[in-house]
Amino acid sequence: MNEGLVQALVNGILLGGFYAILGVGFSLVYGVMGIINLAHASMVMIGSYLTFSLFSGIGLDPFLSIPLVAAALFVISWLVQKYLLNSLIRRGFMGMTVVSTFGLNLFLINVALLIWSADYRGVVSSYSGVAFELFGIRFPLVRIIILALSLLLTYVLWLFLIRTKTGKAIRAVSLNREAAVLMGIDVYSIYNITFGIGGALAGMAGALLSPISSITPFMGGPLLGIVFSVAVLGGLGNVSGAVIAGIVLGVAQVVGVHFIGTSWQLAISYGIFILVLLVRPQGLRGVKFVK
Amino acid sequence: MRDLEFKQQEAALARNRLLAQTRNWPLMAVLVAITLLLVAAPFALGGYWMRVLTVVFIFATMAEAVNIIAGYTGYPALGNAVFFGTGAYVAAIAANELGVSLAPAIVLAGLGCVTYAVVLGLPILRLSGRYFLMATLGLMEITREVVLNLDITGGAQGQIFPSVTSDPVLANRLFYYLGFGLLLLTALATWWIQNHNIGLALRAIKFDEEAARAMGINTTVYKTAAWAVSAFFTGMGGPSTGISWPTSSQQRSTRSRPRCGCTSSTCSEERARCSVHCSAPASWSFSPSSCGPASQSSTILFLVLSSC
Amino acid sequence: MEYLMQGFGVSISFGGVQAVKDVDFEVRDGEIFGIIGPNGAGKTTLLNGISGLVPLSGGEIHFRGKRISGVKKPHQITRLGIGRTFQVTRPFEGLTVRENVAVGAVFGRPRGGRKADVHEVVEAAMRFVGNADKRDALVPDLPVAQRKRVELARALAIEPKLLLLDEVMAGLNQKEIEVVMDMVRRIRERGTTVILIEHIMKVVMGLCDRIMVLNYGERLCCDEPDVVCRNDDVICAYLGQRFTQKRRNGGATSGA
Ligand SMILES: Nc1ncnc2c1ncn2[C@@H]1O[C@H](COP(=O)(O)OP(=O)(O)OP(=O)(O)O)[C@@H](O)[C@H]1O
Ligand SMILES: [Mg+2]
Repeated sequence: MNEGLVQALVNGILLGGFYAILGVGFSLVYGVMGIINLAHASMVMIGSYLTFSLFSGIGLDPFLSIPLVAAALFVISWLVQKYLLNSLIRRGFMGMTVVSTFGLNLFLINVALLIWSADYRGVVSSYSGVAFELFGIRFPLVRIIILALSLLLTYVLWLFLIRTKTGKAIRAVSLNREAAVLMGIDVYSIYNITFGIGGALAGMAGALLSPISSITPFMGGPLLGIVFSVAVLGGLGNVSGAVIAGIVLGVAQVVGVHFIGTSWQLAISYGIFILVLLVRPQGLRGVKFVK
Repeated sequence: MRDLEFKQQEAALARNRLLAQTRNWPLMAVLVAITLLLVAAPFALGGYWMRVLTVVFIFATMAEAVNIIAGYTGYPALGNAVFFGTGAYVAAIAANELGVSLAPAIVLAGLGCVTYAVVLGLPILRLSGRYFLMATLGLMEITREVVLNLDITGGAQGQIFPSVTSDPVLANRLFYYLGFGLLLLTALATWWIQNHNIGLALRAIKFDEEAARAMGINTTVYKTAAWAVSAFFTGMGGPSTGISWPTSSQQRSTRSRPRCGCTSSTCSEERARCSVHCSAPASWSFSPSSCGPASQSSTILFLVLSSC
Repeated sequence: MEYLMQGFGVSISFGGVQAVKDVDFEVRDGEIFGIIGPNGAGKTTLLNGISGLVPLSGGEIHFRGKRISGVKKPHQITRLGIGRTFQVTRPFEGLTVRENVAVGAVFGRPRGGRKADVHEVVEAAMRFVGNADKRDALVPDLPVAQRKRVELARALAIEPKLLLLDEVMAGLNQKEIEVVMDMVRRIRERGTTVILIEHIMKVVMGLCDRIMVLNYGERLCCDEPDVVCRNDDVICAYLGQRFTQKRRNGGATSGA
């Protein structure tokens, strides 16, 4: 194996960890409520901007701002679910939830345009150029931190889902809503929490993304494609599948780039997404969803 | 459960439509009056408002076209603006590479999109609602990426359609009537579909695709056709705006000066206004990121229309 | 061409579950062919196999001597003249009764040959099932019995040679059952062969010329009603002792 390919593999894994946390929140929301959150990537964008503001305003390190950003997006998402989406679900307008998230997406983009304008922003910390070298392979520090934090946070989510009472309630609702109601679970408050967690995960992903990407109000578009790819590849609604899918996708993308060229990066991901939908629609794991 | 609730809501909407059909003569009169007003409008309006109206026509066309696949057939094609962009590119490339003039270029754009929709539709329309929705959005992204990377499309710079006429007033009117005509044509087609067996088949598919199949409807053919028709009108909308859409760099940065297809540079620096402010739409340009506003506006319009 | 429809070793499986196992059956032209069996025996699944909605995992189904399974798509099978209703009714919810029936008349009738006017066929079908007065009603406004009639009218509007009825009488009251039984008889008199799935034994015994019994996806027996209800396997698997005793004493009532 040549060195370039090994480097590509390493980069792919470093990227894939981030993709995992990018897709997990979306997948969780879909799995529990059946809502396709088209605003997920824009929530990531808002997360990035908040990190940027904290960084440029009070000099807070992007990784240290994660709890703050996550909390902020949790609250926003919680409110959206409680006052917008739940009322639609209650009245049986399930199809309209997608429409609402579509609107929310536009709303967030325009809010970002108003507050932060359309200029490119970036978060450049003192250690952003630092990298280790091992057997001729480069390991950029920032990306290692991103990978580590992504996996850690996803693991925390997983622990939350299987250990805590709330987590168990969320899983119960996702398995069988009617039965959960009969067991005395308040489904709508579980929905609020789930969407809040989805938002918080998006916010975390945004914070993690801020040091390695330029931040614009329109960055959500391409990201949403990645989110779809990860979620579908992992099996929609399948949280652990999303982690594996994120890594697979990251590696596939970077290795693909290694052979085809950088500019095809996103096209590769989307291509995988469409292919998965057509060839193995149930994803790596998960249930079938062709009619 | 959810699907059942959704169906009941749908039925409620259908009931309202039924009521509307029985006594719509006053509505018809109002529609005719509005149509006449719009036909006469170019002789009273300034260039700015004419271009605003032109864009409105095209977006309404797209909304109407989405309605055929999403409203009648029940396949939520939120990424339908991919045909808007594809149409614009097909027309511009046909004009620049083959020297085709505007009218045939527009028809070519429509036909190109029909081909695209049929080729993609056969596999993608097998997916059920939500997955279809995600697939169409993904399709939009993938198409943009591919267009960005191809040579023939001009990469991030996009395409400039050659100037149609040097007279700005004439150009304004040309594109105005083009957009208006397209809207009328789409409305007519929708009306025809609604009152014809095709509409019956599409609505049957929407409410229960499997039962529709068991009643002898070749669902593959009908839903693909619905998407193809939708793509046809959306695709013709692409080259019919006569407007230079902002390129990606203009969308992202307020500092750079919008590059319009027109010669004079009276363009506002504001992103949203750039498109309608060019003094003469005799030529127009289009780039991979131009679909965004069209996609959003037309989808919103469709959603607003379909929920009232 | 003695049989209208024949099944040779028909098997249908969903993942690991084999819902229909190696079932042979033959339906004669002009008869009412009953399929009975306990819940989950695979009756509906077999019907879905016939109408092409689920693929067979083994065996073949022939209609008028020609193979249809695996070579014809569901809509083509319908247009050969095989109409059906669904156990859990599935009329098109947002369409009026008339439009529902029109779907069958427009798209489902056999291709070629001279065809009657769609309007006439629709009106005739609605009159036959007796819901012509509801023609402009929307399906969600209708009670179950009426929904079943919409489905029946829709299936009749395709002018079928063979009609597959999946528990059209379940959930109806005595009077309604009598009415529908009479309809089925008249359908047969018009020359349409009927395959009937039903749990109500009075209906099955009263209507069917021959009955096939399925149990766990397998064919237990297939014979005339009197023979079937004396079959020990059938009594054991489905009818139960009580039913047989009652029958011996005279009136047969609903089994299972
Ligand atoms: N789509 C499906 N996927 C998986 N299993 C299925 C599916 N449809 C049916 N089955 C299984 O196949 C078996 C037969 O079901 P079927 O509906 O044919 O029974 P049935 O004889 O019609 O029963 P009933 O009298 O309750 O209507 C059942 O065990 C059922 O769970
Ligand atoms: Mg059944």
